[in-house]
Amino acid sequence: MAVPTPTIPNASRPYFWQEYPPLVVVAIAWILGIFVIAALADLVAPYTYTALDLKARLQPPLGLGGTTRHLLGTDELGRDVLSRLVISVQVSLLIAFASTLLSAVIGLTLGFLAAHFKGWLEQVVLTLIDFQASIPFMIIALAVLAFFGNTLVLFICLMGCHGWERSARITRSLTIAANEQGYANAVHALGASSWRVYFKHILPNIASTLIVSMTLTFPEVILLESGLSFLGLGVQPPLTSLGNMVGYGREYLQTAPWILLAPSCVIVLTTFSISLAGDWLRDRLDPTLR
Amino acid sequence: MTPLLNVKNLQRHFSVEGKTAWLAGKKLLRAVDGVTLSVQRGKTLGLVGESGCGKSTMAKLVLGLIPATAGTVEFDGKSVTAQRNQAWRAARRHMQMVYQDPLGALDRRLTALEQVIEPLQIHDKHGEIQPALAAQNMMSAVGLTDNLFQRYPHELSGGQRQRVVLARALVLKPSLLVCDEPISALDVSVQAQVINLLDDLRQQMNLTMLFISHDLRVVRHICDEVAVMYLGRIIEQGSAKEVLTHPAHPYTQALISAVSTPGAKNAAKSSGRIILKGEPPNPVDVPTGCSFHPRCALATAHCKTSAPIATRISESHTVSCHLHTMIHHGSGS
Amino acid sequence: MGRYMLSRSLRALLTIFLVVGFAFTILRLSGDPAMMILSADAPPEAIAAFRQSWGLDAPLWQQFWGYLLNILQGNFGVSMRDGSPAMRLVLEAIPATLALALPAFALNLLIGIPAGILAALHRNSWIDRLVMSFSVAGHTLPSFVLGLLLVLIFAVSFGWLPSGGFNGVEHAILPVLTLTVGGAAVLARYTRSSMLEVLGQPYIRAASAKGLRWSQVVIRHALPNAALPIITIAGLMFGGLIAGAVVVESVFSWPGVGRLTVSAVGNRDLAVVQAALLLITVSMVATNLAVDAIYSLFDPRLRANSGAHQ
Repeated sequence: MAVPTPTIPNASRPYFWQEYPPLVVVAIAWILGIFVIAALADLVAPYTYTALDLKARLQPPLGLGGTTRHLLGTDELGRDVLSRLVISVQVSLLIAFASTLLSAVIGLTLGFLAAHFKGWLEQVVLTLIDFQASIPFMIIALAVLAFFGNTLVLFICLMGCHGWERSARITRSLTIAANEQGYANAVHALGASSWRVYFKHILPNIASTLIVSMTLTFPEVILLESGLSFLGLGVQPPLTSLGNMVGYGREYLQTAPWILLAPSCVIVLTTFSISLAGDWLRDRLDPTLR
Repeated sequence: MTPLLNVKNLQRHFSVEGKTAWLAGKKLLRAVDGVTLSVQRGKTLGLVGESGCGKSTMAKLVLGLIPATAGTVEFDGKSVTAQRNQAWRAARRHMQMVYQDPLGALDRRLTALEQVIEPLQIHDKHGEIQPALAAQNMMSAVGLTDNLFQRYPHELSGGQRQRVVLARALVLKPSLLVCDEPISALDVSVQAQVINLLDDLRQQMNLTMLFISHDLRVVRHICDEVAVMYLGRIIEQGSAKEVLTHPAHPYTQALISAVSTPGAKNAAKSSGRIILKGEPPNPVDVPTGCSFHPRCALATAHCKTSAPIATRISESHTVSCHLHTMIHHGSGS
Repeated sequence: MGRYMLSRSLRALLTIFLVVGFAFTILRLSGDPAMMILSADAPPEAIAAFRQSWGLDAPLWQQFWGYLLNILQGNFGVSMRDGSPAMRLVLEAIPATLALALPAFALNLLIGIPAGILAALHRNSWIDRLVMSFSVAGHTLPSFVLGLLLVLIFAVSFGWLPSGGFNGVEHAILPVLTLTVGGAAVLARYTRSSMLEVLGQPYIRAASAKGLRWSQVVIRHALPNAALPIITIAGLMFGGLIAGAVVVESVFSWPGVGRLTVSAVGNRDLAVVQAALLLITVSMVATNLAVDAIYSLFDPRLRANSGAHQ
């Protein structure tokens, strides 16, 4: 009876796909692609996003009867959908990026303050966190927009107030844990100033957890911003964002659905990719976080 | 000669909120309840007791890491406060601590060498000492080989980590080293090595040490003097040799009887282990009178009502127990 | 239980107070409330009367007190559009919103929870993957996109359902469906995690080692323990439904509180915005409180003895 000779399995290829599941790879590729487009928007867009061409209104995209002049068709004012899409991506991503960063900074600062000073300051921060967590942000955002109007800077600041409570909670609990019995205490005992302890030691240690939290906030801001822009309350014309485009395209749902389908697809694919990649990142960096 | 470390009537109370006490008021946890001790330069004082007796709190109080509720701590003639200001931070050069959990005490993102360099970066900003060189020398002195310098804490064994903690504590050549159960978390086979290392370093650098432990054998090996703590108070102290071979307090006798090596002379020991009756004490509910009386086989009615004072029973030996007060001062007649 | 509910109630009151303070602050910060709430061409006597009734000439804390009193009486001012009292407009819009929110909530529970349980019980099987995919999709799909897609498919292409308006049950189908998807997705996900965590506990293995059938183990041991976190999430979903309603009502031209608020924001009709904001907040806080109460009824750790020393 022949004994089958053992073969050494080809470890490299299957292992790669185990480490990086194909769906995650696609997601990351999409994200990178979108970021590149956002960065190079002005170069990539074939037309200026405000360029009117009233003779070419409501042209369908290529493949549905359109021409190569407008790959994704035109809208009701003859503006090239592809160009507007590219610029919208830039605007939406810019807002999402700035807001996520702002939210992380706010959360980090308040979390540190609460953990360091304790006492009434901590109670204030905890109450704020509770407050933020118990009211849906959409409502707060609406109220602020109603009262203050809408400039881009104000809007970004408003979006930056979304999700900070998560970062604050994480920062506070991790800082307390570190201070309580860990290396932070030891470094304090070495004679380090609080600044040094927080920025050279605690911050790098909680960075990975914070980054994962930011990957949660990022798509949420995109959804929030596009929702508000869709309602006409977010990014104001002449600026355009993904939600904006969907909002304007709504009137032409029956006649020219591509106007809103293109940005909708981008929104969905982008948030989906970031969620997927974020989940995967979270599992890799810190499986205890769920 | 002024002792390097001088502690007088040190107290540290924590208020504890029990759930039932929400209406009744807060209770007091007397972690350290009137401790007086001193350590001469170059000597090692061992602080022993069960868990919960207040040893770790003492370590933090002595270094000024937490504020005292009452009493004073003096280091080198100067008062130690817990104010985290510039002066406090500068004083760290002279007093350092070694921890029970070496992994927890190290930042897991820094290599061993970086950990040891850090105190130099904090205190010696003008670069008078070459940080990398000084750190490497110190690490070699504690027995770490070159190949370990670039490793991260989780890549080192327990003994190696504790050596890194030691090196970090000693690189600025402090005069006082407080060791809080430095070997309890290590494998038994490694414990002896680390203790011997501590002993060597102590002699080379003329360190003054406060050595906190519940392990009497180690204390006997490395300490010049011993103080026994129970429920936040010192119940016996004196030279290590004397206290550990001729324990006067019933509690100390029980502790010794649990670890005595064959051949040790112990006047009070008759046949074997002394088992303490009752539950380990709760520092929130300190018994009246002598705090040890619920568990003491020799307790009298007097012990329940009045707290004993420290009685000197020989030149280097004091004990807080009514039995000895009566023996030395006569029993009423 | 009493202590727990007391502290939760205090928290709830504090939250409401903070929202009132928030509304007051942004009201004062953003300009002259009299001009904003009444309207630009209100007669001077009306402005003066408003100023007085709202105490706008008085020091700040007095103003706040006056504001608070007005709020408590339900007086938010009048809508810019038609001059009717703001609170009344909001209250009138509530039934429409509830007509969407309640069925959506029920559907969330009916779809989300069983889906999550199934996914947990058949972990890593195709059922699990299917449920998780839908869950992620539902979570990342913005409700306005979903709504428009549904309209595109069902109303425009197939013509089965109307695309908007408020005239009958068939008008409600698409909006309710849109609202349901997001919530069911989140609920399925949480239910799955909660179940998985419970199923991994040693007492589950002990129960099945006792000889119980797997279905009995699940029903008698796993589900009740997994239920607690699910109850909390289900309660929080109410907030998500409100936020979702804002968008969905606008997509389907459904005359509920959401659409009212959106148009009020667009018109800077601040009286209505305030009224809506406070009403929504109060209902959310009340719901959270109710969830806390239910939770404490079921959690033996809270129920047993609030005085027991841990």
